[in-house]
Amino acid sequence: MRYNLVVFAFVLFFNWSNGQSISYSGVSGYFNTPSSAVLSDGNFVIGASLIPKTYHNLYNSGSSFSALPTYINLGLFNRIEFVFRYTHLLGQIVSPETRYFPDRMIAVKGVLYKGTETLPSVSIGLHDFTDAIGGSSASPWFLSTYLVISKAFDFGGFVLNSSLGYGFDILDSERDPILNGVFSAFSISSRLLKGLHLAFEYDTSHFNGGLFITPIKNISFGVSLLNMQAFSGNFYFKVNLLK
Amino acid sequence: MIRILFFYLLLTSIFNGVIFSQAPIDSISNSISDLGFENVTVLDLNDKILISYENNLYRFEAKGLVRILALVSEYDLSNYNNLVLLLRSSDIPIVSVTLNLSDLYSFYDSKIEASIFTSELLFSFDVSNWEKLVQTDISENSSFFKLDIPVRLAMDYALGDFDDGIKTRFYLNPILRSNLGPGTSFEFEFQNIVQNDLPGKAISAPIQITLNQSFRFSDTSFLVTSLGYLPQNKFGLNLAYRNYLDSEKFYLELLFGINRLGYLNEDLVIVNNRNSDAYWQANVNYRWNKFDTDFNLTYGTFYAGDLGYKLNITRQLHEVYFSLFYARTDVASSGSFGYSQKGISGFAIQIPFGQSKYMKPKKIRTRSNDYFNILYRYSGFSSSGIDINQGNNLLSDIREFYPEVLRKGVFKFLMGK
Repeated sequence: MRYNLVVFAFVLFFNWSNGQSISYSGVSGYFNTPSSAVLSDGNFVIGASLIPKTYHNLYNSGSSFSALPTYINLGLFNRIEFVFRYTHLLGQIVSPETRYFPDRMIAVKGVLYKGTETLPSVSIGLHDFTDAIGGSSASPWFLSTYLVISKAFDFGGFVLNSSLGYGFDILDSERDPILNGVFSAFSISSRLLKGLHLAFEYDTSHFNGGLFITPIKNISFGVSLLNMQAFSGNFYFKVNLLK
Repeated sequence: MIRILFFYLLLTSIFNGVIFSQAPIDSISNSISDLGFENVTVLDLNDKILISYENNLYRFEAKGLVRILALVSEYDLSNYNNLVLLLRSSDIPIVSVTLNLSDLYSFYDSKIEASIFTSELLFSFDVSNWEKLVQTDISENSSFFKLDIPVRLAMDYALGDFDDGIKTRFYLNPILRSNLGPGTSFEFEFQNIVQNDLPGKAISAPIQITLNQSFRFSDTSFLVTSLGYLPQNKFGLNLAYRNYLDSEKFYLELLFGINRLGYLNEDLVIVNNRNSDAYWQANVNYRWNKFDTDFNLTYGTFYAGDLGYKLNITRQLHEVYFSLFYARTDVASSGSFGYSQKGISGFAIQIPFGQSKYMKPKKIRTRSNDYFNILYRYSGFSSSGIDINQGNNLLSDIREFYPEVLRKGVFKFLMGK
């Protein structure tokens, strides 16, 4: 029994992970905030998140339903990641009366500057922008643009990944953008505990904290307390399509 | 007596010479055919060996190429300097690969790495000179008049219907496909609905009955034609002419078709509107070889007769294709809850499906179809910019033959050797 626990702990903590995690909206980042990192070319992620009610506000549905975002993310050219997200409110009825329709969102993030040993990387991101370019009539619930810089610091075996960004509204969203103002996040991982990293963020509205675990190669979980009160989490599978 | 002895020695030396030089050639040809490759020709060209073959054995062309390389490496061909491989599709030559035999042996003796070996492979779309030589001989294991029966899994779906988050309709469609001659094929597909909770009428019935003819006019230009009943309920004649201007990096393509809308009902009776309609499209395509990515701009009429343009960016990841598109045409439509529609965007994913290696092609063979496709259009209510399905033809799979795709694919499989 003790041996099994040791093996389990070994598998849990010493598996592959590059410290890069996927946020609840499907982009590379922390829980609700993006980082400037993008998936490497050919990497593909499919996953789902659970966001408790009061923390997912959708027009006409208020914030009285928990949300289940499901998403795919593909890394392209080591510069761009493309995300498609389909979010359903658990228990909400789709009908003309409620005027509720599950949310579909396309998002992209592009690296403007890859960074150096001393300078941070810089990325720009667009959430739910298809209406803005005339590509869709779907409701842009989360239309948002942001700029984010990220930098990793190595402290003798501990790696601190930090990000600072600003969400603005240059595409003139009809509703509140999902990232509106300054956001910031950091995560800590250890070279000895590669499958685990702790993260903490301010997502322009709330402080959130939690951890990401990669217990088995390609499979990761995130668990967090949104506003340090409500449990939320995600689960995703990552694969390199070029191997 | 001396004369007789002289002639005897002369004849035996000639025959011995022929037998010794022919032996590996014949053996290689037989081995490649025995593996299941088709339209096989192996020629001795003094200092080089030319092998022409068609791969209908492996789903991915690069995997077939690696199998051929492994087989050739088992032979002692020290009398030759180079190996030329001519890869065919529907018995039409598509691309040639030239390599130094000493590199091949060095790699399989673990003297050089896969990256170095694959970087030395010379790929070319210029195949006409090799093809002239191949036409001087008779090929083995013909691919003609064999019946292939792939079974295709397909899915239609709707997101966010009123009583269910996702509604689906699954199909398991048997396809009958046969090559009748160089570039000539017959195809029949029966739409077989196995699950359906989508609203609207849908029947299990034939959705494709076509006779196809593909041509390669030169090293750079192709013409594919199909006559018959195509998916999307169209009967007619469809043409696509493609001209590569700089190997696979850049091509121009023209598409044209005259069709009558209609379908075969449950009683196999043609139901149609008797009005023929023509469509035309022109597109330019640039391929970024570093990332196997196509940037394609199409202008013309689309499935609904709508006129406009469509920009498509497709990233090829070996056998996986991921496309993003944006189209804007003159068709008027509405989106969710009546919002006005300005354009249409979305994405498409094509993933390999089923077996990566099939049974040997015989008179009749069943197998899984190569791919499973998912198309997502941001507004499912819009009929703007829908591609016209011209059916399966020579150009459908040609991206697998692109030099950089083959090189990366060979590297991938040799790394796992």
